[in-house]
Amino acid sequence: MSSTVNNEGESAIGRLLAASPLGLPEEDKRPLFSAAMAEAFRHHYSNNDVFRTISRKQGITPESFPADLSLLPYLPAALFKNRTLASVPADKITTVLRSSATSGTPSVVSIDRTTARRQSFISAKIMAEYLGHHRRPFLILDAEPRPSADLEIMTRTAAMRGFLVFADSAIFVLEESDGCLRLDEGKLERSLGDLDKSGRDVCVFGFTHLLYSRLIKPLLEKGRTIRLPAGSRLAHIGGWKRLRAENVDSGRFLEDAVRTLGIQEDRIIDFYGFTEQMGVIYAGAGRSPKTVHAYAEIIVRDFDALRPVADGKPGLLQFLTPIFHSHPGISILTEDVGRIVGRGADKSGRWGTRFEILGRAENAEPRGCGDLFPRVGRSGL
Amino acid sequence: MNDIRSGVFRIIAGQFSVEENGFSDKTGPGDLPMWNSLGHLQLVMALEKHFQIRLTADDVMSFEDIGDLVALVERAVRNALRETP
Repeated sequence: MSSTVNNEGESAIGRLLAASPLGLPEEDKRPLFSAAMAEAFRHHYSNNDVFRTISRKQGITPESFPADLSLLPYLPAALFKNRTLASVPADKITTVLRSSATSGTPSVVSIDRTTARRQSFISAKIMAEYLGHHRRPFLILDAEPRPSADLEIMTRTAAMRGFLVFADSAIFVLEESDGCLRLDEGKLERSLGDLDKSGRDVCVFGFTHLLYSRLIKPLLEKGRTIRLPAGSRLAHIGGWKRLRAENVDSGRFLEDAVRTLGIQEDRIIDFYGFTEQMGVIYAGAGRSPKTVHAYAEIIVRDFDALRPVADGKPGLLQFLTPIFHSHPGISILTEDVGRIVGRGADKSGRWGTRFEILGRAENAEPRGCGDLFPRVGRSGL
Repeated sequence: MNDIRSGVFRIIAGQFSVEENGFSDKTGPGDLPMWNSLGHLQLVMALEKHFQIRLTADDVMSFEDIGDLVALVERAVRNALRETP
């Protein structure tokens, strides 16, 4: 991994990326993170008219970069809906991400090679903290993507990208027919047999809603259980809106996953992320809250005046990260509601602010790449 | 080591359905239409099988272009030869 960091040279962002994701005490992180944010701010201020206009209106310029990062301008996630906000020339864009909101308006995010490299690098470092460094077979609750040369890809497929670094084989057990994703039971049975014979631990991976609706719930209904090799893990990502509508919260998801798949609770990892900061993921194992790693910071803002609230109080979640070069997604106010539940080191020695997601803001458009099955052509994963 | 280089190029060409003169050391993931993340995994698996090597997760995400990949495979082959009794 070091070669990737070295490509950042001696920049402040490079120094931050060289840090361990969950091993940096707050007092060590603060100067590194602030310098990296100042560097990213300067880039977007100089290269993005919308970002510069918003920053100037708030009286923030590179010369007056604040020590208190809560004073930095933030862009509402809605600003990215159907609008390209690039901070690099169009010929530098290698990928366009589009969120899979079907009833809402999709967010559009442009990615260049610098951003893609940083996204891959940090997402792999964060995942390794929870999945381990070794590669293992992946059992994926999704359909195999068709090869595509499209520049534009859906968030859901892009989100899966980073995880495949940890795969040494990938078995897709859903099939797409008549516009629906169905479990290929025969393929699942054959794959489980092969995996059982190999004795190697596996990672079951999928979007939260697909995992539950296509695998866990049918197993529960049939009274069946699957026994995966010892050490197997379950990694899931995506929104909870549809599951909450079915009265399935994270606690019930965990209980049902443990019961049907036999995976230890602390090896079930819930990853959170969003299109405007794709690749910057936050994970929680079992019932633990999610931890903000070295490459990002969280601020919770009240619903009315959007002022930062005290720890423990619910509000809208804002995330700061300096890694985005191609678009000004360095400070995003999401429509997700949550609260900070702890700071410092947790009981397993991971450093970072811990938070939990409580839901979506009342007026927010529904979205969530695992909640919604995109009807757009499935492009390259 | 020239054999390794030509082997890597041949496997990339086959994996992504391109002519060997259609890419260079500077070509990287995303530059070839089929070099997406699943293609990336399939390429790694094909290289591991052909050269009888095993790459780590760090290896898989560390290379930026084909030049890096050739160097990575050369190193892995050397290591594998050293470990062979």
